[in-house]
Amino acid sequence: MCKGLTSATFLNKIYCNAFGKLAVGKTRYGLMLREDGIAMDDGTAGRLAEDHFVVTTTTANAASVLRHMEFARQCLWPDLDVQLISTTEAWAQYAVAGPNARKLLEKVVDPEFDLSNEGFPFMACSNIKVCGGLRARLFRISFSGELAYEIAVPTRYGDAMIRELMQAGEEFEVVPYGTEALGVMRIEKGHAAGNELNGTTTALNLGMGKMVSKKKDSIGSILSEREGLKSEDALKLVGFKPVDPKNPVPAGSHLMTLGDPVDAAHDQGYVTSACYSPSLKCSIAIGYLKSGDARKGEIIRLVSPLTGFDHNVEVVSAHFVDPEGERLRA
Amino acid sequence: MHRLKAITALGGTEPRVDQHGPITLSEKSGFALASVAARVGGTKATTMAIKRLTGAPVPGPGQTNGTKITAFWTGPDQWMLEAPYNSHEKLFEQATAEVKGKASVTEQSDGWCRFDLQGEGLSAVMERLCAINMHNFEAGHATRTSIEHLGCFVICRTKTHISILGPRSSAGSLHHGLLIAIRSAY
Repeated sequence: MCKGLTSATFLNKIYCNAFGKLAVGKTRYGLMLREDGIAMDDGTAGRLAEDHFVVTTTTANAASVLRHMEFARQCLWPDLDVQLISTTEAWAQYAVAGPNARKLLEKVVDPEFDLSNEGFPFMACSNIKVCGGLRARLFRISFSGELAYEIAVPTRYGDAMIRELMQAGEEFEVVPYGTEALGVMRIEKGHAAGNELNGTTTALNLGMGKMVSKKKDSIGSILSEREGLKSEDALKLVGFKPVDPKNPVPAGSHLMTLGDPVDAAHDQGYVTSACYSPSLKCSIAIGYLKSGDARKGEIIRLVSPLTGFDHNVEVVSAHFVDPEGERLRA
Repeated sequence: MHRLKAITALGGTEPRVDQHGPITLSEKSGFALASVAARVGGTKATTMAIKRLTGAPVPGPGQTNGTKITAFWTGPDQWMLEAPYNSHEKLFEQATAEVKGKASVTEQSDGWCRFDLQGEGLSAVMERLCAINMHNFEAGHATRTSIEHLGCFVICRTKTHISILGPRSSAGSLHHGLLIAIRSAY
């Protein structure tokens, strides 16, 4: 939770992309850089009021990001009017994802709230009431790439809420899904996670170079301009598909140009996240490849001496499924 | 009234109570919390608002004060308000109205679990759990410490009654740690 009269100014300095003019009732994806220009964490921030943002982080980084923001608040910009407090445990939050997500929520959210695509579009956020008057929060955000919402209720009602959602969703054949399924869907969607934000990668590597706003100063924006981080053949996040669909594309494998010797000097990059894609009926992966964005269509050699894999893969876009994002805006 | 039924931090429908030796360990679910942090230039207005809410002087570092609504100090220009949940479920709304934009108020009721230790000889238990100097920890004192690697607030209600507020997601681990300490002491 980030509150205060200048909380928007504060977040504009914390995130490398623009946050100063985010409208009330809107959520935005944000990328935080370390002071040295390396990507630190990503997440969304929703503006519930002029002076009230809800900041989300990678789960495992919640404490370290709060510490980082507290340091910035107290030591870098003590003149700004910002107050921070963790609300991670105060709210039980569920993702409701899939083509019927809206229909399901309409049975749970109190009828005075308009959930239509016009009334509550992609990236909207709002204080709402559910199940006959309980305060709740709704965010139309999607990590899975589906039409999706995240709904939060005070934690003591979290147990009752999931039972309510499962019951209301029975007619839509709702199923609980875990982080493994979420992991598969986010790889199909090409969404970066901890494997990609691994402490060595920049916004440029992640394919988000243009997100680093030049119209403002933010933590890490200057040092992300260092020559070594902007080289012509910088690693770029791309997708990989096996040439023989029976082959896996295991994470940790290294990538070699066809015909080159397999050694560190010729290393072209590495695979960060891999899964079997039920949508594409083959294994897929995302990872970093030198000048990867300019090499789509190229067949390269995937080598994993540790596991004995050595076969060819095709370089493709990291956005395997619904690249235009039509599902999440439906 | 909405149709959802609450559970306690330990997952029960009723708060758990354990008794061992002279000590009673009670899970408490019926409290509301709201954090209050003064905005730039708003310290005086915030302390006045807290005084109106609690009916008592604003607690300084290491202290708690108040009657129905109590406040304890959590940091420079920051306090936590606590009140019974049944009568003050919307404590954060009440506080927001009272501070009139001079402080940021956030609902914290479900961010924390609370366990109360009651009985003679609490020092022997607490000394096994944290670094608080129990000989000087008296009614009206409140501090932050680490218990079982969890950041907790500890509030001394009376010499024989201490409240421990810990992160709700770790309620089970905290409860386990407290029980072990009680059994170790007695």
